[in-house]
Amino acid sequence: MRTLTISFGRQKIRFSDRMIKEEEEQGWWIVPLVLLIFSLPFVLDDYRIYLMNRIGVAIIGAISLDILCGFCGQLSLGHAGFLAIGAYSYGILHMTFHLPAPLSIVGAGCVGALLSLVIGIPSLRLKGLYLAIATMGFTFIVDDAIRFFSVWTHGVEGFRVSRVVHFGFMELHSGKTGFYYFLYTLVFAMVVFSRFLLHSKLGRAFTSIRDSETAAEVSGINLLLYKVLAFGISSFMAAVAGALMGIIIGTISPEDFNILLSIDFLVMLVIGGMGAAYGAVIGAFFITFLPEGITTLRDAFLPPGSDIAILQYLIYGLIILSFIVFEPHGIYGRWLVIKTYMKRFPLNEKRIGRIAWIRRWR
Amino acid sequence: MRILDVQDLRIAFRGLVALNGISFAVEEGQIFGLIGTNGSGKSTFFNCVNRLYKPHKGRILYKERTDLLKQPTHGIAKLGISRTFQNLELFYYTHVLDNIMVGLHPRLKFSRLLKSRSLRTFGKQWDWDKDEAFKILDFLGITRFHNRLVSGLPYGLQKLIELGRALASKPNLLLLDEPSAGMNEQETREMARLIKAIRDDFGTTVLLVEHDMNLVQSICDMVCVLDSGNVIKIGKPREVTTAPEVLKIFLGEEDHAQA
Amino acid sequence: MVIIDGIVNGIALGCIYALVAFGFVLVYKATKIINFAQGEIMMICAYVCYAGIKTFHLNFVASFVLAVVFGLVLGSLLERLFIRPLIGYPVLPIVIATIGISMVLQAVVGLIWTFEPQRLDPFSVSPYRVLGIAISPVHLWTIMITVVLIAVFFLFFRYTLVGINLRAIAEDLLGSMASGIAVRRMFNFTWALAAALGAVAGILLAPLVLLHPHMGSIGLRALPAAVLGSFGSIPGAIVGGLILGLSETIAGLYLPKEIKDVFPWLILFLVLLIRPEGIFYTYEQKKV
Repeated sequence: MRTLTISFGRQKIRFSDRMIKEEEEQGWWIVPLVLLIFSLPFVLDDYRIYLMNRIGVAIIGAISLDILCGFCGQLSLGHAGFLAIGAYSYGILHMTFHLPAPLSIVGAGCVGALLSLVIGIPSLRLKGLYLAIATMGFTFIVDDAIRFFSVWTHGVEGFRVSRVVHFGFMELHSGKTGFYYFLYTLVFAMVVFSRFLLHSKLGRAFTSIRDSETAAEVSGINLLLYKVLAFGISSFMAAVAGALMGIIIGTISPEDFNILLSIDFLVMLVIGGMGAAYGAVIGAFFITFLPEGITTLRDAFLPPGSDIAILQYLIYGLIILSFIVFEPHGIYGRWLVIKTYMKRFPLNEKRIGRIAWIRRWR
Repeated sequence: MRILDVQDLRIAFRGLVALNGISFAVEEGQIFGLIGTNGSGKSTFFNCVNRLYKPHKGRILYKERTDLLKQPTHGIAKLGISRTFQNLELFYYTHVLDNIMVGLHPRLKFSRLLKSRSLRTFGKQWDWDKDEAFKILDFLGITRFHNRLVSGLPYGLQKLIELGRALASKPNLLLLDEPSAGMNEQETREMARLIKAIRDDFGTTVLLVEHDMNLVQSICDMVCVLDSGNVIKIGKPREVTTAPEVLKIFLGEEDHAQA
Repeated sequence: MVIIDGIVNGIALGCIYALVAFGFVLVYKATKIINFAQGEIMMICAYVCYAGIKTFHLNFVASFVLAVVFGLVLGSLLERLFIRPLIGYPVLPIVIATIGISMVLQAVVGLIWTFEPQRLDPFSVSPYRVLGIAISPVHLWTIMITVVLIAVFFLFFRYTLVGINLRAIAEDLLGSMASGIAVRRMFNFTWALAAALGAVAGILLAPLVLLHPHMGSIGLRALPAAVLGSFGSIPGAIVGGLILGLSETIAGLYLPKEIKDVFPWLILFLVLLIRPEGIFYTYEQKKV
């Protein structure tokens, strides 16, 4: 098949024998973004670096949930449980058994993937809401197990985790820039990995399961295998995220991993957009910054010393509701709509759209 | 070779017997028609072949060797059997091309699970996958719709897309569930031409469930008539449509001497 | 005699679980949505009752009625504002929407009454003696009110037009619409009813656990009861609730605290592994 490629600056249009305009995914933004992110440590103070680290971990967590929910359509409220498993596995492997840090991180991921079988295998029989309830139960049980096995996990007092990661000769302290680069290398790798996954055979199997299990099955997709894989990959990444979170914060306790964390990640996906890893990145960014924004608001409007929890719950809930009612496909979804609009500009169905909108409110 | 050999197949749903021990055989390279009134068990039979239903008794031999009833649901496609659905099972909110590419699944090797070309073509679809899908679209004559969303397309087109997905796995046996449902004269003729081309160009055996007698007459090599889960008659189209017991089922007690 | 107390406690707890599960299943049957905010609705109505007593100085019965009416209005309002626009959406956004509602409700309660736990004790503390067993009034009233409510609802669904309409919608939505049932109004009414049920459950629960904004999470614990009883079945929810409450209390007497805390969820996993369809499941084969 002969092809002819014409480039208009960034846009490539490829004409093949079929004389159809085919479009390819653009990756031009990678290099500038990498440069931007990697130059930040020089201009930001320590607290902002800490925030960026937290965002990095949130991105990894959100993408892993996106692979499970957005790609494969398996609704899971159990993400906090896997992060907890990862964090505590890392703590036990590294602090108690003194395994080297990188090995402990991978080990934590493996523990998470292994334990995901608990949900992965039954997930075959559990659809939609049932799966949501089951995964919610999983989070509660993990939370409780952490308290129960407090001999290993130090329970409610908190488990002190070393903030230093030894990479052979390198010593990365999570407060310093070395670790920041390590983390964001992982983040970028994760984003790239998820995009490759989306367009691969595995990714297509996942989206088929999401869209119609019957059609997927008769097309030869082994539901059990792929659902287990989805849970496995997602939990591995989530556990790694949990381990990294432990390294960044320094102390972990069961309260850090309650059901609210699971909801946090789901909200990241709803706000950012599900199904394409970019939405997860946007959502992670948004939700991690939210508490900061709320603190600023609180200082501005309420008398000092007011319980922040009230404002947090209120704003959180209102944001969730307004996004779902008005922008259910998230920010990335809206961006895609804008992109398509721009492509057809000025030949859009603007007028038709407006009339339909007016009619709706009559 | 008998590509499909149904032996005494029986399935019941809590007392409602859908298939009552039916038996027939389909030869390789045939276009085989399965006709009968509504509720006679035609779609149920398809679902049994696909292992979406689990029959209680009987065997379905594929290529004279494999008992399909011992295979898991997803293994059927790997064996080379594809089907379309009466109530389409499509992915409505993705492109036509994506829908077709799902059908390629059995042909893809596991080692190519994650690979892609280069970082420059970051996240790009596999050329090969796309080529194969486009070949199918070309064959069906709907190439120009390749990046349209399925939900916005007319019903006839959606049926073709489902057919495309079934063809993508290069099946040896194709099960078509009422291919001409909801189509007018011209579209039905097109469909007949397509089915013939599928058999002639790809060597695929086609098993049809149909209501449209003209279609059955024009392309089927053999026909089997079902009624209430029983086989009434098997034979060439002309024989079957004039046989008195068949006419009794379709038209009632009085005999009408017409095909 | 500890075991007798345990049984009574368990039945009372089971009644509350049953009421909450009833609310869940009611909404689910009609609208195919699980309202994760059911617990919080329960909580805010209990607070309204509290406000009736403390702020408006009404007697208990009037506050009770006030809370139930508030529940009806709240349920109706929530449905109209947040659920109606989301009809037809896939599962995930709706689940998150109800979670969002639960958060807003908690925040509103925290705003008005702060996050400090409050006491709501409408019943005297001294136990009655029934058949020679000492039962505290709370438990007795809980069981009695639950029994009365179940009877009322049984009659309601069987013999009133509205009840029959609701059952019709739960069975076959399109058919109901075609038969002229005002479906949207029925949805609204279902939510209002479920909220009112939540109000009763909340008021009965408050004496046991103290009134605080996080009380609603107990509502989530009733979900395993609904699953146990097969989500689409109302008698199932009630039976499931009773079984859950009883087993949780009995187990709590002999097992360590941590296991008792997550007992409903362990039961849930057990059910989902062995028989996810629940006890009252009717066989269905999807027609392809």
